[in-house]
Amino acid sequence: MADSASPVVDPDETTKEKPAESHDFGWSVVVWNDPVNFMEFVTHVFMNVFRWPKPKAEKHMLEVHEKGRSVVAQAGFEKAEHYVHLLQGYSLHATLEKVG
Amino acid sequence: MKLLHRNDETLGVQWSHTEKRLLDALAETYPLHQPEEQPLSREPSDLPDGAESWLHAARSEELNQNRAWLGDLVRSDRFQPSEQGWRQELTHPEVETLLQILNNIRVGAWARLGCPEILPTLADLLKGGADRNAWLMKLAGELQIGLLLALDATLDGEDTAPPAE
Repeated sequence: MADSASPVVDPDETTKEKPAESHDFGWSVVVWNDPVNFMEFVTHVFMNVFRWPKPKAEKHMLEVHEKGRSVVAQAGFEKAEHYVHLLQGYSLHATLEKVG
Repeated sequence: MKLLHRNDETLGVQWSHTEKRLLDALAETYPLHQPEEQPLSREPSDLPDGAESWLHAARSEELNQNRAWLGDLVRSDRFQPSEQGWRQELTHPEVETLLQILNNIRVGAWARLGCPEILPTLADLLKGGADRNAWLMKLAGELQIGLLLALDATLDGEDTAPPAE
């Protein structure tokens, strides 16, 4: 993210080797399934919050729907909390989870 | 709801008379979903001290700002009467705020129903005796979907081709 003060790991690119310096990716942003949020709405929110293209937003939305949860970002605490704040602003069920 | 036009900054939408009355009524109920109903983590002991309360305070402030904005919106002259209902200009951030408000009402009403796994259908509601929150959840959802469909609409002459790689 251009405005990011702390780094963010794309959860789809977790196989990439992390840089040698000690970046903090210690928190996951998790979005949980519920029966009330429309699938179209969840996709829209992912596109807007993460600036994802629609196919990627739909992939994570379907992961939430089918697997019950999706990790949508990994980052340091402040950045991860910021994302939870934005997602909860849309009343999505989003929480922080410590990695490892 | 119908998309009339859009550019990089704003979009114009057409509300039917029914949709406008519905928005006016729903605005009276906002906010329904409170920050305290949204935990920052399922393992609060992992969080730094004060993180949860800071988030709740920030979200409460946002809800207050959204409520003030919504009150101004429904009382303002930003709805222009037309033959089919009402025309309105919204900035893109305002559209996002409106979507947040509608889903706050929908999810808050669902929470007050006890977070049912099976949502009541329109047929259930029309049988009579339904909880007010079941109606709020349904009607906020109808406006939300209407707005999302309007956003997704393609206007005549609009280029729908994906950007070149």
